[in-house]
Amino acid sequence: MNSTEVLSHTDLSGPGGGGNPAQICLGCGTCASACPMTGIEGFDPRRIVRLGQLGRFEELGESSLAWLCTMCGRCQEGCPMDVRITDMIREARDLGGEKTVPQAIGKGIEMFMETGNNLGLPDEDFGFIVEDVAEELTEEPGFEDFVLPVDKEDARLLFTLHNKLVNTQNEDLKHWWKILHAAGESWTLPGSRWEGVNWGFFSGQDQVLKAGVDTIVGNMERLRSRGLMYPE
Amino acid sequence: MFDLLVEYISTQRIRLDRDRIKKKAVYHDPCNYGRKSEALFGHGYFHEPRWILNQCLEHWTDMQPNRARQYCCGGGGGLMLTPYEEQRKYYSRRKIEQIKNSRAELVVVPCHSCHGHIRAMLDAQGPASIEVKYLWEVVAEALVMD
Amino acid sequence: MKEAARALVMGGGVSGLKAAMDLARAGCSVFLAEKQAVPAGLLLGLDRQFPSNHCGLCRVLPPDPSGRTWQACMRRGFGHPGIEFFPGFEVQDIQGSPGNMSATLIRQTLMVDSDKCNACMQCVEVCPVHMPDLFSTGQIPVKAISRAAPHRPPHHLAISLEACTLCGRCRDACREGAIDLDAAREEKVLDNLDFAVLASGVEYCLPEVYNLYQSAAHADVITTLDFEALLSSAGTDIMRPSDGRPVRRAAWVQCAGSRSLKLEADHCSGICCMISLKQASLAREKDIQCSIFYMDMRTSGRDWQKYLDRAREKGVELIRCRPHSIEQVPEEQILRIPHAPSPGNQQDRDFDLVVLSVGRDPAWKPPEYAGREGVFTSPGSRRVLDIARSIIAASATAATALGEDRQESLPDQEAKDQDQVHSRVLVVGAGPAGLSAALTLAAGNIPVVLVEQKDHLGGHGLSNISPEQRKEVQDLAARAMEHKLVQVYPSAAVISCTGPAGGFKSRIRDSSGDEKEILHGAAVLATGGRAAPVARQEDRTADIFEYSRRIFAAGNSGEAPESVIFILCHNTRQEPANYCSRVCCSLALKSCLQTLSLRPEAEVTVFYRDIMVQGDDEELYTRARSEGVRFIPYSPDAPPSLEAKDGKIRVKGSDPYLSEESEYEAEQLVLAPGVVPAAGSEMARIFNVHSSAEGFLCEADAKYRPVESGRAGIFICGLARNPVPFKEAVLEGRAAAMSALGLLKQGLDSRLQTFVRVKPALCSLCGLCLEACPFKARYAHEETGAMAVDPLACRGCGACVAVCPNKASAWSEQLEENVHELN
Ligand code: SF4
Ligand code: SF4
Ligand code: SF4
Repeated sequence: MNSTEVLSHTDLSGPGGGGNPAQICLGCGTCASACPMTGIEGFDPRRIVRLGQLGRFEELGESSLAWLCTMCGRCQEGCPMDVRITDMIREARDLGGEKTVPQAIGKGIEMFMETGNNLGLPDEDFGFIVEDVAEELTEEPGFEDFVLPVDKEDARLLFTLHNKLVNTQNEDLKHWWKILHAAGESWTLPGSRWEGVNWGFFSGQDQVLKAGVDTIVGNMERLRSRGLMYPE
Repeated sequence: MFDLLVEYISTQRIRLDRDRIKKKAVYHDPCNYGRKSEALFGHGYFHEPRWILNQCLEHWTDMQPNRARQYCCGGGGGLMLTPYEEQRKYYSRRKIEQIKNSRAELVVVPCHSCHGHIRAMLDAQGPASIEVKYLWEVVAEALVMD
Repeated sequence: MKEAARALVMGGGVSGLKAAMDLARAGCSVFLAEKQAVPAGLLLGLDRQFPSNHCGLCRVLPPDPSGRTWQACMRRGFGHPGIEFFPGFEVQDIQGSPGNMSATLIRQTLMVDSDKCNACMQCVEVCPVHMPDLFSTGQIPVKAISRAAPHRPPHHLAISLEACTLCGRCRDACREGAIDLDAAREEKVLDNLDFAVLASGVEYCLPEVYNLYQSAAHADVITTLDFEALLSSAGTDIMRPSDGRPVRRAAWVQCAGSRSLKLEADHCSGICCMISLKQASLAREKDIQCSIFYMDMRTSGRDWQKYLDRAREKGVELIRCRPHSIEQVPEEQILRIPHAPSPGNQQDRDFDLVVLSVGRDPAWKPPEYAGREGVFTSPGSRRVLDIARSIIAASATAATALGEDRQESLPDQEAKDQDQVHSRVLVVGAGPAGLSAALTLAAGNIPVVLVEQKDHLGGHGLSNISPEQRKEVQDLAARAMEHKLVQVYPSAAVISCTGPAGGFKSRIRDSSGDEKEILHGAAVLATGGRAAPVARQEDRTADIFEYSRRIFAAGNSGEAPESVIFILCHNTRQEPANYCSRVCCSLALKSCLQTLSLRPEAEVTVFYRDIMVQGDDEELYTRARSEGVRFIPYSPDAPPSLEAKDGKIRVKGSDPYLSEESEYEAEQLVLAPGVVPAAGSEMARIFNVHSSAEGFLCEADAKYRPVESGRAGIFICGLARNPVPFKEAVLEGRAAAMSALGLLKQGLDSRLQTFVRVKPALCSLCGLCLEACPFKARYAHEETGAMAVDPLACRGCGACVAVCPNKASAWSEQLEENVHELN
């Protein structure tokens, strides 16, 4: 995903021009029909939009409405008035303030800002985990000569990781490694700041989002990689 | 990611065997690569993963609805990380119905969140016997090494 | 008057037919081009129309005692002595200036020679081009060569040249030599035309083109046009297209291709709501469960809200929600619609069939020549109109064209009173409708007596918020005052009207009590309407008319309140005033926008039931929302409650989206109580015509003869007939004048021809025939008391012949023979 596009997320200008683009909502219910969450605890995208219309973003961010949305964008896809509901959700989550950010996300973000990954995993441990998996891989037929290219400079591709692969689902690291190996790709895995998941996107916090992007750009510069592979 | 796989397969940097996976599969379009990418960048990755699947296995199908109108797995937007478990289950009923309706034994997804969430929801409410695999996992399994 | 103007009418749908017939009756030589092989256009596929739920296309035809067009079914063909019909031709271009225009017609449909054709259908068999199946149900393949129309005999085949590749296979297959493909390139040029009327309508939205609800992927997702076909071919059940199983549950989805910025369709198609209601009502008769998904039910016509109530009583379910998608449940062949009927509540509903209510194609534009000088475009060729409004618009356009054509050639002669008594027309009411009627008649060289209750002309038109429209009315009033053929009686009222069409006697009384008798051949009733009264607690309450006048009065330098609350449909659209007044919503929207432009920070809140804007007025609604007007829907069983306190207005209402009951405060309260007919049922009594419970004058036939009252020679228009916005009042006035004009012209020629006669020797004066006549053509002679027949009103239905116990009521001699034959 292109970082500049992401960072300009608060551009809420809709086709109706003028002030608040949520105002153009017709109340038609397309969004509510589309959203699988409609109906639980009174959840309804029309409610989100109505609060947005009235400028009650903070209230929205503090309510469960903002956090029950998966930002899947199905509502928006159908909206005949092109109301950007998910943009509004991110805005609201940000304005709702840190106290409303669900614990796991808040914690992850804190960790990320401190250590460079959402798990707070020290680089040493990371190195140990991935090397271990790499060794396992060499035991499979066809991959005997596999070597994990950690911090290799001038590689064509830089690979960031989803923290869950490092955390619990180590086995799943292998699939891509196999493909890259079979294709004879020139690639590298950063030994530190390998996190590819940006939770600032969920919380709506721009500074977190930016820090995430900076990390990756930093890595690319450091290792002089030409391309980037991103888990999401 | 899709582009890379397509590149490898179409230039024959990797070779695949379509007969290894026998299970009937169904493909899930993640919101971010499909609908949202289409809205944001003008291109949704709808065609590529389907092409890749065609190279990897014989039997697969689409969910109804699919592509831009597909249902989210229910774990997006950070919801997976929240304590709203009941709500997530409610939300995901749509996805589970879709999976059941497809009569597939294997769900293929190209996204970590979707993978995790669909797995969790199948375990919690659906037929837990249905497998969930990454798209690249399917590719890796079909890899012909010589 | 210039003799026999040459007029071209483009489009052979109901609008084109009406315009052509009006022009022919007014003495023009008319050329009518229609690209299909048969006339009637869209109506070919609509064989049952609301509110009567059956067809009545033939009723658009003028009564013609010669029997040449009388009561012929127009689905089968069309012939009229004054009209040269070019079926299969479309106008490609128009050149030249009024009075000397030439039009190039190109073939669009090629007819197979029906004298030679023996209906072997070999040609259809071999044709390789398949076509979308508009009328049939999928059983018979539709090809480029096919039956000309479903109601045509099988040996009437036609080739659609839009699809045909001219491959020649049909010609080669035909053993009778009935197909002449060379005629495909046939062109016709019509020269020396005085003017042209464009009445070819608009194109309908094809859902596949816009990928609406993925209709292409589901055989059982069809359009309202398709449903008409299913309905007309249905027996006891309606069969669904995919597998021929009977439909048990059907859904209608409104606004398919309308009311969407994403589709660049910021318009309302205006008639789809009523079409769906009609279809669902008819489907209920086949015991089908019917649900309509809608946003606003736009029942904006005099009788439409009642029609909706009836549909509801029949069990049609209305669900206020626009669905996002239609899902197919695999294997079960079910279409599932997830929807959220009220905020925070989601449900799935399963259907066998889903009908998309389609309107105008968002990409449709009128042809390029529509704006040329001398080409008069009917409003029905700019937006979708229902049948009655199409007919009114077509008639009015014909009137305008005629009027302009005659401008220079109008002889400045005094009305010759005594001997032209039958051709004079009494127009009652000098608002926009009445003035338009009077001037249209005068332009047709018909003397007019214009009676107005007030001391000045213009009526409500003078307080219209639009400066252009005010100016238009002032001009009309000035022209009426000056016109030599228009005799104006201000401050006067009609108190009685007796006699038959062609020989009415009316008394008018002026403000000083003086009475005068007027002889006239026809009358146009245009007595207008006024705002329904509202109970106001204090001066912070205004009705929508007052408020709009006030806020628009000072142009852009006026003052606006800092907060205003509108309550639309205030005590209206429910019994006893169960109709939509059609003007309030757009007036309210304009007033909201004006308030905000005078005072951008103003808080504007609108409580509404359904926003009733149609056509491009939808843009007003879109703009009002995007500029921050807050719209809160309410239901008539829980209207917002009002209270005035400390100089402020307080309104308690609930916002359904937030499920919160709130109190809204404002400096100004604006109520929209609707309009009522100004003269009420008084007019109906004086002129012996029907009126509705609310006092609106009623027409003989709501669809095909919308400006004719049940009494021959009495025409009705404008607010007196039904709630209409300004522009439509003008159109109705012109259309009513056109009908009066036609009646008088034709009537004068054929006065002596009658269908029935009275044999005085046998008549016992029992009067049964007076009641039996559905056309009010029977009357008792004023002096002798003998039964008489009004030849202009009589349609020859024979009801009087049947009812007469003395055989005194009999067919005329000429007809007797034929009638016996039928017996
Ligand atoms: S983006 Fe949020 S509100 Fe919209 S459909 Fe998805 S979950 Fe529902
Ligand atoms: S789909 Fe769009 S216009 Fe309709 S209710 Fe939702 S936000 Fe409003
Ligand atoms: S609101 Fe207008 S566009 Fe929508 S269905 Fe009704 S008539 Fe058609």
